[in-house]
Amino acid sequence: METFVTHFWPALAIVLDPWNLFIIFLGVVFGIVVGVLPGFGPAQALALMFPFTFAMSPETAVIFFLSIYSAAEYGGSIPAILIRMPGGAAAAITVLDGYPMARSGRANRALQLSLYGGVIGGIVSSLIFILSATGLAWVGLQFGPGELFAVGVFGLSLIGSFFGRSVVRGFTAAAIGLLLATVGSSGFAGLRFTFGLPALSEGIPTVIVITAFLAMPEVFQLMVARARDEDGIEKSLLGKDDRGLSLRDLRRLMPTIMRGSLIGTAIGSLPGPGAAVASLVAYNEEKRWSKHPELFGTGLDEGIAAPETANNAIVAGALVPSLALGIPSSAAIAVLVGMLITKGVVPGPMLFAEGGPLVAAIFLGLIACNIVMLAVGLGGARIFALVARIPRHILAPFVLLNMLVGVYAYQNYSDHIVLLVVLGAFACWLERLGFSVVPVVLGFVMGPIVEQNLVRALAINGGDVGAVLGQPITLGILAVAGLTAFFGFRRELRSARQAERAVASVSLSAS
Amino acid sequence: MGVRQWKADLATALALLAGEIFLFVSTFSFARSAIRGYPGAAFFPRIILSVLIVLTVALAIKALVARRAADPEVTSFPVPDFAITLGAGLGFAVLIDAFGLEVAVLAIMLPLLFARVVAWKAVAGSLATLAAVYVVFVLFLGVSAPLAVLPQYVTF
Repeated sequence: METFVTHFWPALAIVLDPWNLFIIFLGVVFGIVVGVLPGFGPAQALALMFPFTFAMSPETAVIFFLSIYSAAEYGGSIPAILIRMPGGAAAAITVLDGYPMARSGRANRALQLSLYGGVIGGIVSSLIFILSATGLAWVGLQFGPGELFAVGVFGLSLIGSFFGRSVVRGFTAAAIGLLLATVGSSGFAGLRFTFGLPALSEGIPTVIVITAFLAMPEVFQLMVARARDEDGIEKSLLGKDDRGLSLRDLRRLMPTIMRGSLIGTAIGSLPGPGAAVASLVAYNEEKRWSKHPELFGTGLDEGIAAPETANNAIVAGALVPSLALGIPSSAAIAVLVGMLITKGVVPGPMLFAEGGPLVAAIFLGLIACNIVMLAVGLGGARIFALVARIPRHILAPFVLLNMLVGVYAYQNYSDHIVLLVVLGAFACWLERLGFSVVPVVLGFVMGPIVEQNLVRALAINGGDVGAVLGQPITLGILAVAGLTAFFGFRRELRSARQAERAVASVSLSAS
Repeated sequence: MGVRQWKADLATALALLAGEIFLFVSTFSFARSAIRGYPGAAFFPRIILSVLIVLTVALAIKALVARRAADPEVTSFPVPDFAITLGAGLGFAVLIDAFGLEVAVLAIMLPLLFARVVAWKAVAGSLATLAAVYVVFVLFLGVSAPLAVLPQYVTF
């Protein structure tokens, strides 16, 4: 905080420099465009722009990268809302309420919810960082591999308990995702489940799992759509009642956005979990706080605002361990830290004491890029929402091709398309049987977090499972995970018994 | 094609169970641990597969229990559209390697658009899609897709 106050005015002058404002604008536009594309997320966007930073000063380069990072997180939500094809794993949760809201003719509102949530989340988390970076860094230091393993298990318990028609199906889907994540290199000892296929030797790419399980079922629905639906009425996604957000709506959503900001900042400051976990925890918490949790998944404002706030709030949170401790908390931040090192700036505790206005410029720049993103996003939302006007049966071939090209572009491997088709067919069948496929994607994303941290913890403790699981923080989080799963199963049993009693009483009254 | 829900659930559960058992057996061929404390490559997959087997058995039992209850049919499964979707994906994979990006894109887009809009719109839409894919993926993002006609780079 002292560092920030000391260097506030020089940092503000850097951020408000016309050239840097233009760089922020370019970064936001590029980030949104890349975030929209399947298979391209913040890490890929930053890697693509790395060469352009060679001629920039450290402050300008970092502000440029943060603009791209924030905008790419937002950009991934646009296809998630419009065509149920998230640009990245973090936007998978946004699909749950964003897509139903768009389908009901309120695509513009859904996009604005995502935008406002992301912008406010980004600004709030920047302010939290300014006030409490040291404290957050200390908390982050307490989380070793055992604790991060417990965080992963907690995330899985949420996934299984709250998605799909039943808890058993939810956990089955999550376990399928975990299993898919084990394909390929084990990291320490050889290959697993490749069956001699070169396409599987590096594992199943995340873009294929996301596209196959989230986008393919929807692509299939689009392909089945006809010009007239069964009632003979042509439907368009953009309804006449598609108003944007009012100030009153924003005030009503403030508690949701604040909770999402805190959750995103806290989870972002832990090395490992990432935006997908932040979105999931924020969504789940919002559902718990809601007076009508049964409405989540039908197109609720809070169901979009919560995850989108959290997945943008992690940007500032992720900078905490990166700048304060030199520990990158995500692939995108690792690229950013690498860029800083090429400019002679070494992240770590001394950066705050000897870094001059750089740290202050980073956080003022993050606030500035969120403001620019709001302007670009509001103008762009009207254009993006035009996609919703296209009749579904005509949209189908374009979405299908976008999916195929996006997967191919990942590594120019046509075997990946075959894998996409096989997994996509499986996903379509699972959806037909009432499984939610979101847990598969989330389980796949969480799998490496859970396994790698468990294995590291075991290696550090000489294979002593008791030593790993007996740490206080680990034990506490695992206990919460266990209770979450237990209450999930209990809730399902109660619902089943209530349904049986209802059927029995109807039969009695009929006879 | 319509199927009773409990039959579909049971068949899927049994197929999954067979796959899970097969994969569990295959874990015995994984490399053993060479690092002290590291439990080996098979450790985590076996945990997941054990949990999956228990859950799949639970699904199968639920399906059998549901057999007696009033059971709605699974909504009819549009096999032709499903086959077209899968065929388009597999066709793209074959065509892009054999003939290049241009042929693959046009071969997918033209028939699908012809079935949906008038001919000239189908042609215009397909060409516009090819142009967009080329500009965004090949020129802008630098994806090295195989190209039959268009240049890999454009210089000014």
